[in-house]
Amino acid sequence: MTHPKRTGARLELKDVTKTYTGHGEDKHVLDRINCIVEPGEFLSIVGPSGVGKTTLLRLLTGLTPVTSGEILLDGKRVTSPPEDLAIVLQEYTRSLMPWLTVEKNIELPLKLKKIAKEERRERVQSAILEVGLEGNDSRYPWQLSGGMQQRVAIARALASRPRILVMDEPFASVDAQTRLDLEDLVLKVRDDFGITTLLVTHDMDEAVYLADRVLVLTGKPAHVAAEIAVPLGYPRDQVDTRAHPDFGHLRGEIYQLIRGKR
Amino acid sequence: MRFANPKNWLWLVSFGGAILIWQLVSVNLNDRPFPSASKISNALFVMLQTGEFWGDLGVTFLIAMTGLIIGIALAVPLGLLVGLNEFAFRSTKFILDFLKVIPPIVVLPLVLLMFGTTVKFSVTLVVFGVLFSVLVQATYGVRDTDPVLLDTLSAFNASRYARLKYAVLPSALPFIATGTKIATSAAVIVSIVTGLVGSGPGLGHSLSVAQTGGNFPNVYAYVVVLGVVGILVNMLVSAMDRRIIFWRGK
Repeated sequence: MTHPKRTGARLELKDVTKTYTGHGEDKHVLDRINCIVEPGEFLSIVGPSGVGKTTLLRLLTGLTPVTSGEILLDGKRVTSPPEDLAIVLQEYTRSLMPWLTVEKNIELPLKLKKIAKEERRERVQSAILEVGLEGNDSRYPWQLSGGMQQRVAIARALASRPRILVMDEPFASVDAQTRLDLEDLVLKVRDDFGITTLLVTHDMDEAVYLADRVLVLTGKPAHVAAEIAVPLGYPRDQVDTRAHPDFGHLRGEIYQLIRGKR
Repeated sequence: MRFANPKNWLWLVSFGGAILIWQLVSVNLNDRPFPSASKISNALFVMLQTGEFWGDLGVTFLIAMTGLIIGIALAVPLGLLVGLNEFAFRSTKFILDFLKVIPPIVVLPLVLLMFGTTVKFSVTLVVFGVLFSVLVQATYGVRDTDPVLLDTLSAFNASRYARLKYAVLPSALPFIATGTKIATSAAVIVSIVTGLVGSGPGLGHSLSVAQTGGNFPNVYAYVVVLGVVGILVNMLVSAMDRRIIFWRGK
């Protein structure tokens, strides 16, 4: 790999609160969420479905404004989608353009950033290599399997050379084997680039396997139930790491947190 | 082997069979409004050698295409605007649905009074027949844009214009193509009806003249021509549709 090592961004959530107003009654979704993610750290955010994980993610990406509190990326307040942030969504089939080839899909955000053609091509090619999609440049998303489509989405996120990568249940709709492969791909990406990585998931095993730290959200409105450090060390391994006694222990702890508060 | 599969030539058998039945029945009827298939094909053969016929065909084609192009050129931008604006969509929905179902023949007398039996009259009517179906389709196409796609683009800091160009327009395209398909058949039909009912120039008018003159073989010959024109136009539009909207249904 000829990628230059990059440093991740530092993310800080300060009393982040979200209330949806209108449509009858107000809906208080998030209540004073506080969290600091250090540069290069991998943070998983888990919680029962419907807890407001996706809402939190929309706030982070600046797609939805916070009601109160603030989100700081490298000390700068997030009000619109930050330059240094890239996102991978669960619905890969819907987030890729069916009328564009793999190459063009990955290139699109670079085009929007008005990056010169030569550099665009170079970045697209290295992103394709990084996620292992060689030889699929000119195929269309619908000609690829689900796992490969999600690789395209990850490559697209990487091509813009983000300092923070945010993923919303990215592996929820692929088969089990593909899921493990993609998990390891994400770990490799974090290793190669040193980017700060946030993963929203409802899968506790996945949360523990990938992260340095797990943020557990529970309740209505959601608040931080616990921040759990994952001292499992690297490299992680799908067999050994998951068989480690600490893994089961952490998993159990998170499970009880989520169960107990419901 | 293409001919090994009956699917590929069955249409020819049924088509030939239909002509044969027509021939047998018409010979026995021996009545003027039902000329035999052989008489019709003779009339058609003679007709194809006249400059008048090709002139008519050209005029009809020109009317249909001009009306179609003007109609689409008006409908697509209007449809996109209406689709992009919630207020515009809600306030025009009823009016558009209402106008869409009015057959052009209803407004024919009015347009005839305005322009007389001219090409302008026929084209205007074709535009009327084309406009609303394409407009409504374009509107729905815009509104069908996947919100996930729009969010994705927004997360890349895409401008409003970029979202329009990279998400909304391509999403609306299959709908516009469907509208155009419907509109193309409508354009051909209306271009003929303007001649048939409104005495506008073209094939429709010649058919109507043949009918009043009692020249039945010619009437049927024209019908055959219209059928062929219809099939060719449909094939052309379908082929274009498949080429342009290659991702449809994926």
